[in-house]
Amino acid sequence: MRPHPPTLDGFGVGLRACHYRDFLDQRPVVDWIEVHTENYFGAGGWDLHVLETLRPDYPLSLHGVGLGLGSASDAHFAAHLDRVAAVARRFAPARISEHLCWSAVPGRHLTDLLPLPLTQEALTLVCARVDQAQDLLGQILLENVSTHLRFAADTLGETEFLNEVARRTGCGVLLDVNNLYVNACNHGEDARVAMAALDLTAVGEIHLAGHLVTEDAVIDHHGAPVAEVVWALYADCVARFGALPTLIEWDTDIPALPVLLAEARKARGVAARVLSPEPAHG
Amino acid sequence: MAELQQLQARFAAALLAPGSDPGRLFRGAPDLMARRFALYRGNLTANWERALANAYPVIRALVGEEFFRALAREYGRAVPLTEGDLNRFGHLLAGFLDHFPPVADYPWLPDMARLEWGLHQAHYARDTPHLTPQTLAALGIAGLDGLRLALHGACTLVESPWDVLGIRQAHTPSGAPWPEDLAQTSRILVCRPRWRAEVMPLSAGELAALRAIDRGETLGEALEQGGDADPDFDPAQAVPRWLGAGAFASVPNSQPNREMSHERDAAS
Repeated sequence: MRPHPPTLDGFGVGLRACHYRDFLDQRPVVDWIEVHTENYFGAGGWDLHVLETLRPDYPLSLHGVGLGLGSASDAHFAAHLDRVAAVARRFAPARISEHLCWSAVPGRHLTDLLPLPLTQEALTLVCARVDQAQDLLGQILLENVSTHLRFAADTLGETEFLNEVARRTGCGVLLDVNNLYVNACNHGEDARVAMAALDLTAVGEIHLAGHLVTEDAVIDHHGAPVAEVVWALYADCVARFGALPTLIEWDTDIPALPVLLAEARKARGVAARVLSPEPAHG
Repeated sequence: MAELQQLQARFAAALLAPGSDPGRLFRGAPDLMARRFALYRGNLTANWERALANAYPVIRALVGEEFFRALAREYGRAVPLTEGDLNRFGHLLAGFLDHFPPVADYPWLPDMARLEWGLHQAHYARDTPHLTPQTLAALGIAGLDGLRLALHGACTLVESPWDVLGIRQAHTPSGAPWPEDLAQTSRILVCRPRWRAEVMPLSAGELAALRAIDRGETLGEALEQGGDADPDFDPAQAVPRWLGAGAFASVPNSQPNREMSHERDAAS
């Protein structure tokens, strides 16, 4: 039925409502598209119609922002997971991913990717939840988030935590290079050390985005071009993990589509230079 | 689960109480960590505000950005979002505004919220087929009277003692003037004929008839009630107008007619 095999390859961009018209009219050349799963939770309407129309022309990544794999409360998890599964059934994505975070307490969803205490207790919970999700969805990828805070209760590093979830559940890791950089700045961690410690076989996808430097913290705001320092980190990342599907994320002050596509081309160029460093001969 | 649950409960409580200190939950200098914690508080209210602005563009334009931000904050704290779908945030705003003292001087605001939520819901409604004039015609005149129709899932009926339609039109690109007399009854069908949610002004007779249909009364009874409510009500004009707006779900739920309409659909 579906024209695309269940794999992602190459360089993708996020499909956002402000670019629907461009995509519908021009079918811009891009290897794949990503959407936030929750934006397609509606029963019907224009958003679902657009995605259904574009789906045959692009491999699709469903990227969730609301499941809250690390929420201690069970109150929202199963119902949210069912809705993710419904979107997945409808659009047959090549890839489904979520974040290593929590997002709800009993009776209230907090609509954010909140920082998870990195403890054995949280590890056990997240593994159980990933198992539950994968029973329904097949393999998912788990993304490292940017945080402004680290808990005093932490007993594990983020890399260690991700490796362990991947090892126990068989999920993949979605490495957000910008988040790695942001956390390095915010918590005095070393992004290259973290990258080198990540399980080579678990990492299956890369995210790149812009950040905002403020006095109190570096903020992962997805509202600017990818910073030079993050491009350099991305080059190291390609050198270590090889050619992985890479997404350009841009969610605030979203620019015209050509700007986004140019960032995706830039990522392709950076990866190509790392993977075949010999200059081409005319 | 004890420690994790407790940490998250404390985090959430501090998130919802501005000025509160999450204490020494975090590593690092407490002052700096308190300022960083406030970034999460800011995210929460920004998400509330964005979601509410998406559903209520006219109310935002009416009350201004600053007031709207404060409204989003008050509403978000008072009415917890119980699911991870921000497009549902705001579904109780009209009722909240009914009892929100700062807007007491704008008594038409709650009904505007009802109208805007109707439009917002219509945008996300299931794409089930509308009843078409062809299907209706195929039933034959004799079958129409006893027909029980259902409003399409995208449709909402709104009635207000205030001219919410006029106020809304003053906030569309058409640049319509602000209504001279706000105390004018509005009767509205919110509908989505294709992809765009729309408003259709109704006469008193049309509203009475559509309400009767929505209650499950037959088309014949409903049209009669339209006539009772409004001597100028003309079913011959109203019914095609409703069908053009996609007012009804396609399969008539009148048992005797169901099979027949299916056969005709399949044949056409």
